[in-house]
Amino acid sequence: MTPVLEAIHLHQAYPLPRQGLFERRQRVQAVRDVSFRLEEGQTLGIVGESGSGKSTLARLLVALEKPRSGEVLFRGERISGLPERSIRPVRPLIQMIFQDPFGSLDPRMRIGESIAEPLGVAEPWLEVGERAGRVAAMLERVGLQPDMVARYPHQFSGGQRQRIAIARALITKPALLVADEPVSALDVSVQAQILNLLFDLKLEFGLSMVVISHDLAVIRYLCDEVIVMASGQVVEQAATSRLFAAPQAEYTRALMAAMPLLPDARPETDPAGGDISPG
Amino acid sequence: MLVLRDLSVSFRGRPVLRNLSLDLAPGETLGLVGESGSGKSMTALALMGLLPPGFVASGSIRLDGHELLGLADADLCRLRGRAMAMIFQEPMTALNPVLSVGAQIAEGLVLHGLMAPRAAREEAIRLMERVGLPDPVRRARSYPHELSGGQRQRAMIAMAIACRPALLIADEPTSALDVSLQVEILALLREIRDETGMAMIFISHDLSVIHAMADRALVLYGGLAMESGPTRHVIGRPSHPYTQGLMAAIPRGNAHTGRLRPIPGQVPDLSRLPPGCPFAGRCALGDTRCAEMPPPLRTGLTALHCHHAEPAPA
Repeated sequence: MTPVLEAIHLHQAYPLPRQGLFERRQRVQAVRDVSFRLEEGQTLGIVGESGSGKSTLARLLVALEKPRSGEVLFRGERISGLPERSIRPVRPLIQMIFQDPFGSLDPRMRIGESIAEPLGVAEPWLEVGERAGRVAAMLERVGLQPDMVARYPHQFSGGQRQRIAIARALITKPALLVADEPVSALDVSVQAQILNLLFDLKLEFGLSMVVISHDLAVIRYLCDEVIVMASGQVVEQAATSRLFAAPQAEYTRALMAAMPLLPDARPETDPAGGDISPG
Repeated sequence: MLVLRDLSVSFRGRPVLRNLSLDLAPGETLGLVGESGSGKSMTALALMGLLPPGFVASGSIRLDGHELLGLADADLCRLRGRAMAMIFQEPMTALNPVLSVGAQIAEGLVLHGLMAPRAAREEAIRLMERVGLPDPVRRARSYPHELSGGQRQRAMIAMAIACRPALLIADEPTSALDVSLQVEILALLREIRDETGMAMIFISHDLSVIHAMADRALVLYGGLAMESGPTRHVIGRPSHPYTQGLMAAIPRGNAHTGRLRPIPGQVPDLSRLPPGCPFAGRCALGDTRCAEMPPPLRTGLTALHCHHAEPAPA
């Protein structure tokens, strides 16, 4: 079967500021030779530290940037390096959410309008009533009240804003959702709500997902397969269970060792208390 | 050494922090855990006498027997940096951008009359070496923007420990750093604590960091201490419904095999807290009494504020 998304030898580089008037411009390699296939309904995690190239890779995957070389295929069709006009028909099928929904929602737009906006592009033939109905249903699905449509982003908490961003991303019924650090800015007690919401929506909508995070626990929770990146390169790629059970690359092992581990909390059942092996 | 009794902070009559009591011994580390709006940073600022205008503190903060609340700013200035120091999450905003790093580290030593400027400059270089900054002689002349994030955090630690304070308050010191840097900075703080015997208040939203750093942990929510006690009990055998909920909300596996059980609802807006327990609206055990009456303190293996939950017997 054709994979939903395929990256083939992707490279991206950015020019650095000239060091001197007659010096040659140097480049920084943000993404080096990244290849993978994402099958329908699967979730791929991309994990790495800051500067590892994971956000650059995300922008390449949703065709917000053109790669220096290599290709991105969506359902077998090339979407990289094309003029915007040619990509536009597939844009509604590829959506993205970001770490800070405050930055991606227009502060002067009522959230109902924000959520409906992509529909105007994807299905311009919809009547006003139909559009409003879709928005209301979507709001309810992400756990907000439909009568909140007239409010502005600042009237919501961080977790609610991320729900709004998810509603906006999914209103066009995309096939692929790229989530860049979707819960990093949220409080722990709200993080879990959003993680479960993303997981449920993935199953319900038959979505394929790419989740980018520096947090190994988030990656392990949501993803079927993981790519570990360092300095723009893939240092390891494996099924999630295998990666966490037996990391192969030195870098992956170091990353896992660097994560402070929590012991399991077993409130009532553990009479010994205290030192329980990490789980 | 540090004794807090019924420390409360309010803003325009609204409580931001309610009746916080704690004791801290030299060499001990207390972890303050909480989500946004829990009051953990307010506690730190109240301790340092750095509350923003409009915030009023009441109760008692005693450091080495001296009452800090109500102290004149000039007296507080003599203590800040000398008796107690603080490091912040974002060193770029805490460091002075137009002063070289070395000068900033030396500044406190000179201001507190501990060293002459020349000796302080040399001490700054020694401190920079201690916190692991490469090439300290040259780095001392660098400005904050010339350092990386991890290096800036190291410089801020050097500045904070310069006068050998008895109490170091670290407010989310590694939250802006990558994981591999985080371990390094945590290890450095542990080393320095063990070397100097200073007491530490370590503030974080991250339970795993608290677990790695603190002997005792205190969980704040909506300005009220929910549960406190030895870290391994608070994290390993929590009794308070909020601490239990927090632990259950941290992912440890894959969604296909074990679903997370999130705490419902949102972190409350401090201006809309119920008069009783701040967790009442989100708690499975919450009832009308919870919303109206401040929860009583119960002590056992851990100490908790709750109408319903009992701590495990000590």
